[in-house]
Amino acid sequence: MDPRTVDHLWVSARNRDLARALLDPTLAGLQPSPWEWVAVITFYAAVHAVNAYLWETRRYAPSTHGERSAEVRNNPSFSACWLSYRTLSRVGYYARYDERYSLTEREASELLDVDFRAVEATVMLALGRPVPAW
Amino acid sequence: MVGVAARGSGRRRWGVTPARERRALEVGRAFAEIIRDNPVVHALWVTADIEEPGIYLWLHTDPMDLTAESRLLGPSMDLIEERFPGEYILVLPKHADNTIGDPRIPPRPDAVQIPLR
Repeated sequence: MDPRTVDHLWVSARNRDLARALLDPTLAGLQPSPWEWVAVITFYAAVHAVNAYLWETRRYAPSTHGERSAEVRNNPSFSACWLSYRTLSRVGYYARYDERYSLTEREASELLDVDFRAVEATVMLALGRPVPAW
Repeated sequence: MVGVAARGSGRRRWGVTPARERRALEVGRAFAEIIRDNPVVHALWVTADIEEPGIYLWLHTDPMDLTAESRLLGPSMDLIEERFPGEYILVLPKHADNTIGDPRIPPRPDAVQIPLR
């Protein structure tokens, strides 16, 4: 793989693991609650996973979320994870910019365990790499 | 006009032109046609290109969790994306379960409400 692809995958996994750490039961009761940040971190884990695929296959680096989202929506390689990516985009935007938005721990956990997992698995399979176990 | 009030609010704007404002209203009205018969949807606002380039559709709905949001919005989002394939459109439900304070308050000072019914 190209070094830039490797870098994107590394950042994606780092963001994933950071979101997992914030969801760890040993941090239960953490105040203020980190659930909106889990959504943001999880979205950017997905962004870098998608960037890894686009760079490896086409040397393409989207410059906006809109460009990246259009790729995920229209590229058949991403069809298995488009709905999950769309959910992560929506919640990630909300969590970044709306000061009155709130998420529950269960919802934050689902974003990582269901939606990011779908994006990660789709990308890794498309790249011919093993899907990480976590 | 969509986005105009943001000029004095400190939010970053991405060059909202009259054409973009018209486009945002066009998208908003089209989405209203799609969603207006859904009984859990009570109000719709549109903003454009405020924090990031895109058209943002804010829906005041009955309370629901993320799974229910995706179930409610999925088909409607598919339709609006098919109609405006070149636009980055996010549909953002706001309700008592995901909003601190009153979810009936417009999401932004510059948001334009689109009549649903």
